[in-house]
Amino acid sequence: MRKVLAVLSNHFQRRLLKWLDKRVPASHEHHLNLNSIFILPSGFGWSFIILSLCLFLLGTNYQNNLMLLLSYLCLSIMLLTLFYTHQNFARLALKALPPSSFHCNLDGEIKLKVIPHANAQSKACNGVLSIKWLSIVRPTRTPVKTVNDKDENLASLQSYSFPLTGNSNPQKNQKQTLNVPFQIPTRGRYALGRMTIACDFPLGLYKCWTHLDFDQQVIVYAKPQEGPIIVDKLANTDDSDSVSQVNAPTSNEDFYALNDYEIGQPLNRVSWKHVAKNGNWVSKSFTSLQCDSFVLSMPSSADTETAISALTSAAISWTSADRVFGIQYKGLSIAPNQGAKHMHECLSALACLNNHASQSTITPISLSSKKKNPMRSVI
Amino acid sequence: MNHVLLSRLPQFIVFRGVLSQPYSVAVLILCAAFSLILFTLTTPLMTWVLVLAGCAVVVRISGLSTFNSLPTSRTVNLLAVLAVFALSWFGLSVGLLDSMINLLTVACALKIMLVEKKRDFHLLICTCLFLIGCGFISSLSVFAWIGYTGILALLLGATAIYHGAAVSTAKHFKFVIVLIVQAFPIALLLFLLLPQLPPLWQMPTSKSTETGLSDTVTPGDIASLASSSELAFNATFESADAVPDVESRYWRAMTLEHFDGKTWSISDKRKQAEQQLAFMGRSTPLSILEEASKPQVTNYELIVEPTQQTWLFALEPSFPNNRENGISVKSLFDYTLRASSPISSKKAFYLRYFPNAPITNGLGNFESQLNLQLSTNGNPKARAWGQTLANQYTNPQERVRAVMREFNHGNFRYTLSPNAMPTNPIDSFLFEQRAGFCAHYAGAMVYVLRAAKVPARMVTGYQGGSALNDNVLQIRQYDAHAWVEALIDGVWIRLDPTSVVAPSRLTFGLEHALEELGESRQTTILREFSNSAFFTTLQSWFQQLDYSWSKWVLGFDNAAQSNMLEELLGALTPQKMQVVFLSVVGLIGLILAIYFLPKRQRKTLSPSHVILLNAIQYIETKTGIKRGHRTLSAYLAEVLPLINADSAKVFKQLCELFERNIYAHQAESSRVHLIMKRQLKTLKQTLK
Repeated sequence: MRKVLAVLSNHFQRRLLKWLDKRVPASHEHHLNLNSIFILPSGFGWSFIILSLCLFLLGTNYQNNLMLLLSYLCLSIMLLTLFYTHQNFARLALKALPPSSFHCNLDGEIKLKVIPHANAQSKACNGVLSIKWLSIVRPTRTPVKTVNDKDENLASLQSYSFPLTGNSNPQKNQKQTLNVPFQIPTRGRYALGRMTIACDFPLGLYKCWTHLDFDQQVIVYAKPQEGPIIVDKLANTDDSDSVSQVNAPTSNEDFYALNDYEIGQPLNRVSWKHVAKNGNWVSKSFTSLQCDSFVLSMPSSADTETAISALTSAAISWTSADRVFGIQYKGLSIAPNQGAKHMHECLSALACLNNHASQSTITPISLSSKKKNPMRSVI
Repeated sequence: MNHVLLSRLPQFIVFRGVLSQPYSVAVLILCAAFSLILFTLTTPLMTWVLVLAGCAVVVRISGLSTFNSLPTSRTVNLLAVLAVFALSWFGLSVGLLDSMINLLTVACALKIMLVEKKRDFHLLICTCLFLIGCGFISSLSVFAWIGYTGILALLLGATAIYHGAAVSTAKHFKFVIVLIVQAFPIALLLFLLLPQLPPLWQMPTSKSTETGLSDTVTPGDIASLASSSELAFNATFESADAVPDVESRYWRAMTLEHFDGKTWSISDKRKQAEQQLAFMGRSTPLSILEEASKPQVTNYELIVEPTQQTWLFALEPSFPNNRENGISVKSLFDYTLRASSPISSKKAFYLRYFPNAPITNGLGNFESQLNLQLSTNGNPKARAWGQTLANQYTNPQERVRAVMREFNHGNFRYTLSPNAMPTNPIDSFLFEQRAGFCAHYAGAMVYVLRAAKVPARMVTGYQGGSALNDNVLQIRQYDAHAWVEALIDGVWIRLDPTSVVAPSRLTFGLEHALEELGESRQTTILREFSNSAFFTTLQSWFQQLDYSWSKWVLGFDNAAQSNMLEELLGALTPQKMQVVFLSVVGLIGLILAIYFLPKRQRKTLSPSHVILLNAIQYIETKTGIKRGHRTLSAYLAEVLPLINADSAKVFKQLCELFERNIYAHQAESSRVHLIMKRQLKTLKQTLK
């Protein structure tokens, strides 16, 4: 019975999302309008209506015109507030900034910038926005892991409120940014799902909401966990002639350039001659062939997740030590390099490594479903 | 001095801190609104409830600062249990309606100490709104309405502050006031055009607010009514001519036929008989009179203040026009009128008055027998006098005349404060005190007439009324009166002993009569003040306002509604009613459109731009070359050779001025505009 209900609710959720995709298509920037706003009385609104009806009954039974008038006044206020609530919410325009990657054991964050609405430049949306994830990850056609779904549901129950500053301070031309946290418990590349943004300004009688998809992708890195890894020194191969900046002062280095010293660079690269001469701190850069860089790897027999966690951890620590490294694991091979950008490349690659991560499962299924259609038409 | 200020400083800071939080401000305003509601509900509320609610508000307000902590929910729950016990204990004595109001107030008071969640706040707002509704049960004046609307604004303001972050309190209140002002036309439309329903079921009425005459009279009761100058009802006639004479303004309410030696009351036998007759379906003499439809009929409208009772007063004899009455009124066999439900708010009643129709003996022998019954409980002297009268005169009319003569010449005195007559009241009144109020005279006369074998009964009601307008009479509580009806030759004849003792009471009203007698109705020092000219005009102005309010707002009922619609649309048919309902929807839509459709913003061009465009138009019509999307300088170069030198010069200057004004941000733009205007004129002239 429970299963049936779960299946049904899942089905409806999917239908809803499909309908929403048509009605409110994904975009980086949303200017709310009639199409994207939903509005219904809140609990308070319903009790207000019931109260008005009670007053009407009381007024009728006591033949008291003032009570009737009060009841009509309450109903008219209810009616007018419908428009006021909608009008206020329709002034909201949000733009998403690309979310930065994060580790799956930590919280991610998407930044939404409140921008002036295209149709109402002068006035801003007021009130408290409460933002909740409808689905953190854009759902695939079949649930990947039920456990995950449950976790997501729990996380998505939490709503975050953001009091809008509006344009109460016109001199301050700063735009407000809302940081909405979210959690994704598994590594991989994800397209962020829809979030529900609601507002009940001015009287809380109505709840105005919208489900927006900001069309953002996020890469969730694996959880870093130290473990034994294999460090290979890469053999010198003639065909690799790529040049990169390295810092390890190895034997066959060639001087490449002088750069301004940056805090944190190893002291052994400082050109002390220049320091002594004119007090300028300059550091030396060297070129070297790749032969002396290292490759981190794991035996393919090890558990994939542990391996990826260990490699992730190693990549972070090697980068903080400013060393050159590459990664070789299963089908993945990354040429040795160094620097923050390289680290992110490595981590992303590790995160998206084929396994049961979302990406791998989506493709075959979507393919198969695509294939189905022409077959049907043939029959 | 400084020291004191410094020691108070932290409190001030806390106070300001409280005011900077929207939540606290919202709760503070809610508390204010709740206390205002309490002030208006002092009549139905019991004292301990008022004290409890007041304490709750104080606790709440002091709890907003960090110095004082709020009571825990356990304390409040304990209080709630106690309050429920107390309410159920006292509830029996105050009646259902009042105990419900008390219950709501107690619930509100307890909740106000524990506003934590959003839900609590919403619950409080709703309860307070409902309490406002309950307030309208007892207070119906214009000022009550304005006051309660103000409280409504406060409540909505509190809600707005609670829900709106980062918007100033003043802005919230401005919004709420705009909201109420905008909602008002819609509410009025609904009020005017939605059908007014009859009461759906019987509601409990408030015992504490029963006013006016009671259905028993002990001499002295009416004297206590005389100290009240509250309005009893308004009577509106169709024209000034239709207003009856001063002498015939007897507003009959009840016939009291039972006397136990001290108190007059409605006879139980009469009640039983009425029930039986109604059950048998016999039509009352008034309805027979109505069907006979005498030519001389005066239609009039009563706007009755709430009495919480069913009896109605009417000129004798009057028949209710039930086609128009919101509450249906039935007539009884003694020609009195009863509403089908207690009059719990100001209501309009439509009546038809037959000036010359007699009050006949509706029930034959039953009435005369009932009204000959004599209580043998005391008053022997009066009985003896009656018997001598019966022996002395054979004609009942002569017996009546004899009694009246005695009142006229027997040195009787009219006073509002007679001595107490605890034993044998009629004897001591007739033969010792010889001073009393209308109820004394009427009671004594009925008693003596019954002893003299003339069927007689006491009638209570109102007598008189002051003119508010040409065609409007106002009858106040101090116009309450008691008189006598005697059955002579099958017809009930009105006899008023007061008229021979104090004729001015009838012709000029109570106040005048008392003035003549050196008494005063009011015993306050305000009397001098109330006689001043300014106060009188103010008073009459308020009376007018109150009358209009009663007639047009409180008295607006189904009849008034259909009258209004008939005046607008002619005879009402179901189709027309459909059109009316559709037009309600349409009108509301229109009002909403006016409020919310984005107003087309007129492009606000700067005045210099307007002048330039005008100038370009002149040039275009002259030369026939359109400017199109060319720049000003390009157009200038093309056009200048084609026009005469003067206008070319002026036009060039104009363009220069415009450019300087727009792009160089000159300070004295108004002066520049003047110059440009002058140049435009010269350009127009030179171009011709």
